Amino acid sequence: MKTSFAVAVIATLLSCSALAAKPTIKQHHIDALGDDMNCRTCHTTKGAFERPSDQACIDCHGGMHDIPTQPNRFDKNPHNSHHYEDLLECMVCHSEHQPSKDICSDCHKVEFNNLK
Amino acid sequence: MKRRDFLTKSMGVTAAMALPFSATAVSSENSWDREYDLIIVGSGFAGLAAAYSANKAGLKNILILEKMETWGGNSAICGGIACMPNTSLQKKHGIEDSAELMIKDMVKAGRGFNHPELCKTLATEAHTVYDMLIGCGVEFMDKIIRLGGHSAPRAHIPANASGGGIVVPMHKYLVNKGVQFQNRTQVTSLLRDKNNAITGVAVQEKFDFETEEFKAEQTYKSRHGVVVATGGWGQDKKFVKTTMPIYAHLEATAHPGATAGMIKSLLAVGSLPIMLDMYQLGPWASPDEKGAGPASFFADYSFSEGIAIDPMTGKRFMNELADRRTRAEAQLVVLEKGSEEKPNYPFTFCSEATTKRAEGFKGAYRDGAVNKSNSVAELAKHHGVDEAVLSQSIADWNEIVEGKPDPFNKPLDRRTELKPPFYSLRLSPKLHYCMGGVAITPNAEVIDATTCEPIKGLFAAGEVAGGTHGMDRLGGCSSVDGLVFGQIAGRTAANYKANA
Repeated sequence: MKTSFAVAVIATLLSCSALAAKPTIKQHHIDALGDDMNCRTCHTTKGAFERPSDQACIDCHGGMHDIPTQPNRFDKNPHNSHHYEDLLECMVCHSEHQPSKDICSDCHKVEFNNLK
Repeated sequence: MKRRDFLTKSMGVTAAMALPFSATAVSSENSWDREYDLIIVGSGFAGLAAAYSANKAGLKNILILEKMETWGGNSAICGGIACMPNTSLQKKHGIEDSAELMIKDMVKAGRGFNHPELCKTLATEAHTVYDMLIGCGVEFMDKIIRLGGHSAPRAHIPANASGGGIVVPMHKYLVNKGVQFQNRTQVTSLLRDKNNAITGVAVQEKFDFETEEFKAEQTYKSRHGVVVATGGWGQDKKFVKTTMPIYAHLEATAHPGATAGMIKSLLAVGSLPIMLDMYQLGPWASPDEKGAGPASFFADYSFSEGIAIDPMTGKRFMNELADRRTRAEAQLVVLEKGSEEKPNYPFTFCSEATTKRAEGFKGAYRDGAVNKSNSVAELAKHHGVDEAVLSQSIADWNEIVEGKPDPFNKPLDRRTELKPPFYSLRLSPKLHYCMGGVAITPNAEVIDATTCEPIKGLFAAGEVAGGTHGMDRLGGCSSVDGLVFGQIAGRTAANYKANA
């Protein structure tokens, strides 16, 4: 077990204790779920916190095909792109505790004003 | 795995490197964290094809490892063009072609440095790739185009004009067949037994490419050896600079994960390296977009039906459909006439009729890489060319379109008059492909540097293996390389039972 793992474990433990600032929840989730929203809403595995699985997202939102991207002037639909179709995990682009980042813009000129 | 076991194994590998014939490397049978029939490293064309054929050959417990979050590496982000002679689609379009003709083209582009058996294997087995892809649900456009340096139109284009049009259907097909995919897993070394046979891999699980953090180090056993299908290392600035210093400043078209980790691991177990200082430059690349985007796709059409001009002379300077090295070198000569502050970017342009056929045009025009000019005067002004000379170059070209011989000998499959409005693109070669890699046999077995014989249980396919294309390669051939040798690697591994 490498140091980085131990650090990650400690960071994870701290993150849900009173000692550390509570990770931020995005407003749209608070609006939708209110007090029902807690760490385990997304971190569904028992025991140590894991990166949420796609299933945690899909249970509420449905799959990528159920969430079409709004039409945009760049003609890009990241939920059904030429390169990945619906193959990628939600968390490749979407984050909860930090800003989301579309991977399209690694190569293409594009902006998604509604990226949650 | 206990830390001590891991150290023992690592030290074994190190010792083996120093003393290949007295290696004491041991990966004891009972200390593996997980066991598989076959482990394939890399989820692009070569890895997918290896899983396909290994599955067909009857292997059940197949694992594809991917370092990144995204699947398919460069295969998913490329244009997916595949040059294959003798496919049913090529025959349907009545195109005369043969494997022999493709070999001739490849050897010319490779400056004769091609390993003949590998080159021959690619060309003769290419049509089997087409059948495999159709079987996986891949759809192609109902047209065949000609890329530079090819003696016949043989380029097949996925229906969505992207390598994703191949990667995604194959990925889903394989998931259906029970092949397991695991991303965010970095292979740190190839492990071997006391006989120097490759028996598995050491990995970092839940690896984050951005931070290089990971959750656990583990070892996985692979009963049928390991297939390495990890592509090139164009984004590994240090490795590129060390092997080919004069290319160090060039932008690379590869995805960020294209680093040298696995070529180093292959070298560490004694693989024979070949042509590691040979890199291909893409002649369709533009300084006005990142990597090789839609503008590069558009350029192939502009090269085919339009012309390319040196702004300083106002004249054509190359056969726009020569092989990639010929064109990239010609462009570098033009570029070097300028200065660092004011580069003399060559440019290509075509008529509106051509843009209607060109995949990538819409995006490239929208994003500003392609410029529209309503007259020769506008075009000349935009690229800083003398209008009278440019006008003459266009008139000269239109005579060639009418049937006059071309001094550059460009093959013309479609004759389109060059007239306004023009659509133009600035050109600047980018580092595109690692020609070198480990030496392999036509059966995709990796060759040992100390014996020049295959290393037991080690197979490689695609860009990480060298030799097939020689010094440089033609467009639409690396996809086929990965798919052909991936298929072969999967078959060879399935037949390899020393570790089973």
